[in-house]
Amino acid sequence: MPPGDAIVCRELTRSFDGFLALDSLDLEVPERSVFGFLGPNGAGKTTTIKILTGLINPTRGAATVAGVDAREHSVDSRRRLGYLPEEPSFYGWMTGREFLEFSGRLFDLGRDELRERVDSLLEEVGLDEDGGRRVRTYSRGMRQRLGMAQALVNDPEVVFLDEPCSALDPLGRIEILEMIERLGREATVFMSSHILSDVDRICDTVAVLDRGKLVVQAGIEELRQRYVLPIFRVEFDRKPSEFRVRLNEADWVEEVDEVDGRRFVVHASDLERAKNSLPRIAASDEANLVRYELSSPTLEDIFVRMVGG
Amino acid sequence: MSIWVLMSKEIREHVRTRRVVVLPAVFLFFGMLGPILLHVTPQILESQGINITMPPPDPEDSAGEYFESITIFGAVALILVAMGAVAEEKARGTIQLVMSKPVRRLDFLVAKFLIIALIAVGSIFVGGAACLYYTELLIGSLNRAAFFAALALLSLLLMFILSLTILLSTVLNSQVLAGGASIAVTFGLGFLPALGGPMAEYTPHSLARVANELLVSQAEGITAPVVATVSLTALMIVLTWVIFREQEL
Repeated sequence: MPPGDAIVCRELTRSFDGFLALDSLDLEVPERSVFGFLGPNGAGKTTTIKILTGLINPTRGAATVAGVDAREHSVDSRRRLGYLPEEPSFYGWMTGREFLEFSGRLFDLGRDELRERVDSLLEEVGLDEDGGRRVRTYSRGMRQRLGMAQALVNDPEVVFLDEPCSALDPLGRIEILEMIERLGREATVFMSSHILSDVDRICDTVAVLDRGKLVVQAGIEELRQRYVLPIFRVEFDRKPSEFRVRLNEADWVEEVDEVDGRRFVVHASDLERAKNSLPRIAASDEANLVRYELSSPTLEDIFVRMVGG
Repeated sequence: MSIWVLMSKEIREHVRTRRVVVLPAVFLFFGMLGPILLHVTPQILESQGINITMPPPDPEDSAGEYFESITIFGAVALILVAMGAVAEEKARGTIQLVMSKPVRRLDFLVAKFLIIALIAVGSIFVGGAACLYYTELLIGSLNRAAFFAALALLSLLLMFILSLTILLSTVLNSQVLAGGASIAVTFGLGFLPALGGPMAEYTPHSLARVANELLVSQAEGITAPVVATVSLTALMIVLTWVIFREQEL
């Protein structure tokens, strides 16, 4: 049987004192996928996640999580999900193990099942030796890993991760990303992140949100082909005198981003003409060309293009 | 049932953070202080060379001192213990990890209310037992049934104050603001019975008068303040729930 949708949003809207934080969001997230939810600060990502996890009621619209209405049957829906907020806060007087046991008991896990689950989660997130320590003594990275463990305590069908790697060092980030990748084979992961290289690396599908509105939802490869023009990265040894002016005259140039005066990103609307003309324009300048590269667009390029940088 | 898990967490939190000792300590202190002070005051005055003819202290005065302490110091201590119940969880963000699990918002509130209520009522009776012991030891015997009935009435008053504090802790996002507002409203309401009028009896603080009257005679007009206090407490809890279930967490 082909997988269905783990999350469905229909005209999901939320306003705060007249400010429209989320505007008629329609979204479908396929089951057993890692879904990247992108957008600049204030785009409505956290608001969406909070509605789907029952922490905020929508002003209008509806959503289902694992097939259950997130508002009408909120408790039942929350039974099927796990949630890691951007900055998880714990009861500092509890130990890491106690917090996981408390979380598991809220899901009615039996004693033996709970003990097994907690042991395996502590090991999985690398806190097996620190599980007996009070959470108040944990570093930020350890808290993030404990947050990840508590989000998985009920073996959820859908896991919401709000910026899961933002507090982690590079090694910790790699570990958590590998964990999310593994998780995506058994559950649906809905992950917001500012670290676009992480999303590029592990997500199957992404949605871009801007000012409360969905800009696009598609697979990453599809986005690359559908939305992004060929990109040339050009670098000179010093600031060129005529390069920018001559590019502005060329009709195959869609857009030029000047990085620091001597480095440029050129978006071309016609790849063949660009390949033919761009090296000549660059070579004719007084400044010396030190780098010329046709690169495949990254998710960051797509993101910048979608939300206007 | 998540409410038992939440209640067990509340108990552990009160114990681990030592908050559990605050209310018993306050009530025990004032329970012992009243009778001891009444007993030693004439001796202290005499030792200072002050000759005032004082009537011998009676046991009802001793109990009355404890009752007054409950409505002032007990109320403040209760507010200080309860003011962070919801506000602190929201401010710290711990509420997000709890409420994203299959927990009903009503259960979250009821667990908070019940555990603090249990500690508060237990503390009133612990302090009351100390008051009774020292009163009978140093001053004279009390009508025990009336004394404990009066403590039960004052427990209702504290339940009202607790429900008010939890309401304000839910509405206001700062526990300090919630505490300040609770103290202001509690002591503001305390003046209502003194204003007289037909509504004066329908205030929670009239329970303090009824509690004192119970010790010396059959208290009259007990129904109005009891019904008013229980109704207002229930109303506060329902109002808190109505507000809390729509709140952003």
